[in-house]
Formats: sequence, C-alpha cells, structure tokens
Amino acid sequence: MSDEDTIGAGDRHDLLAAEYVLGVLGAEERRQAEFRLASEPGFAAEVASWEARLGGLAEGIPAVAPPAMVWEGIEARLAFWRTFAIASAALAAASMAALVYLAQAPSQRAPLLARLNAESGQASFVAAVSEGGDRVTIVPAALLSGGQQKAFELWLIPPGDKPHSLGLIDPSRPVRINVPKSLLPQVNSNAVLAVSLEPPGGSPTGQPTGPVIANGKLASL
Amino acid sequence: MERLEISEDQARLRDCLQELDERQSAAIRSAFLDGSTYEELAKKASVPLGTMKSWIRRGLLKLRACLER
Repeated sequence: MSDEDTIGAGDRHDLLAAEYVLGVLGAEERRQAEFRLASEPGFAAEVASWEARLGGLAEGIPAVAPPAMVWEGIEARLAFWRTFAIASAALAAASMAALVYLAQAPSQRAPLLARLNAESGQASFVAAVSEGGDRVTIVPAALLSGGQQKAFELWLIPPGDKPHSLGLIDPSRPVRINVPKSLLPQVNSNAVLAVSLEPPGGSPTGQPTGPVIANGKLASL
Repeated sequence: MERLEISEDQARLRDCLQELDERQSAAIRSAFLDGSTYEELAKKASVPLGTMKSWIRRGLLKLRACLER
C-alpha cells in the first residue's frame, strides 16, 4: 500500500505545500514548488496556511543551547521562520518604532502607506510613499532574517500587471528607495507591495523567484 | 492580546502533535528543526525513503485535521 494509492489528489497537492514549508523536499522538487509558488495563487495560499500551522514549531524551541550540530540546522530553518515566530513584544515595539519613524517623515499630504503582512497576518514591514510618489521608505516591523544566502527584494505589483522590482531592501533597518521614473504612474493606491526572498544580488530573472514573505496594498492614510 | 494568541496557537500545535504517532511527530519535528530533507531523515532513522515520506505525509495530514477541528 503506497501513499500514491491512498492519498487523494487534493491532499497530495496540499502536502507538497506542507513539504515545501517543512523543508524536506529535494533540490529538484523544491525548485518545482518554488515555481508553482510564484505562478499559482492557490498553491501560494496553501503554503501560507502551512506556514501558519507549522510556525509554532519554531516558537516551541526550548531556550537552552542545543548541541552545535543541531544548531546549524536550526539557524538555517529559523532564518526563514523568524518571520512567523516573532516574539510579540518585540514585534509591537518594532511596529511602534516604525510608525514613529514614518510620522516624522516630512510630508504635507497624507502619504500612501502599506502594511506588508506575512502569511501569518503579522506585519513584517511598513512602507510609506513620498508625496511625489518617487520614494518609498520601507521599515521592518518584525525581526526578519533570510539567512546569509538570501536577499530581500521589494516588488511593486500594479493591478493586472506583473511585479516590477524596486530593488533590494534591508530587513534590519529602514531603507529609502527611489522609484524608477517609468514606474511612477503605477505607484498609487491600487498597487501592491511585496517582498520576496531571492538569491544574493536579487532575482536573476527580473521576477520573484523565491517565496513571497510579505505583501500589502498601498492605501491613503 | 497578540501574545495570548501566539501561545494559544502554540499550545494547539503541541496538543495536535501529541495526537500523532510518536514516529510521525518525531519525524516532523526533526525535519523542521534540523532542516533535513526526506532523504537525510530516512538515512538518520535507518528506514527506507518511502517509509519516512509516509510517516511525515500522514503525520502532516493528521496534524492538519487536528488543527482544523
């Protein structure tokens, strides 16, 4: 009796999302899952659900020093999971700091803001667009780390359009990004900002290749 | 409030993991904590690859059912 006989197609599909989140897939399967993550909203939603379900595993790690061998694995895993397993106190403090920071940004008119949430619903970044729409300030609202091998890339997604890269951002400090002139008309309250994990130096393809770890819609304050 | 929600989620996950077979929950924890692939987990546990896949897949399905109750 193999799993192929007894696990239905719907469950197999959902399991792939779980296996992706758990990190048990081999390199080739993982690449396939990443491709689907970028191209199938349904699959991305399943990945998000599993991230929410399994995120607590990271929270449950006891606060004692594990053996060094285990530690490397935990680091690798946690690098990604910190997004979802953030201590709430730290999150609240960071969010507050982000809002204070944004409130101080010089602006005569109500700026466009976006709260970029992780799939768990927790805010990962807060972004503010300058009055002219030509600068985006993005502030981390949670302790994030993609590990040393990952870059965080910010994307502008106009409605009905493909993502446009706004460049790499730093998960540990506020970053101000100049919006390319060609994209200025797209920076409005219909657009979505998203952050994906990419190879060092950013996406090699010009489109998100890694998991989207946070996204949110721009809205007027 | 947020703190409360997080610890409730955690408690739920812990309870649900306890409902799984020992082998299933151990494999899932180990997968997550060690960052190991199916192949590495199977080698470590000295079981065939298919067995390890089955433990984890069935464990995940049970876990999902339990968390959605």
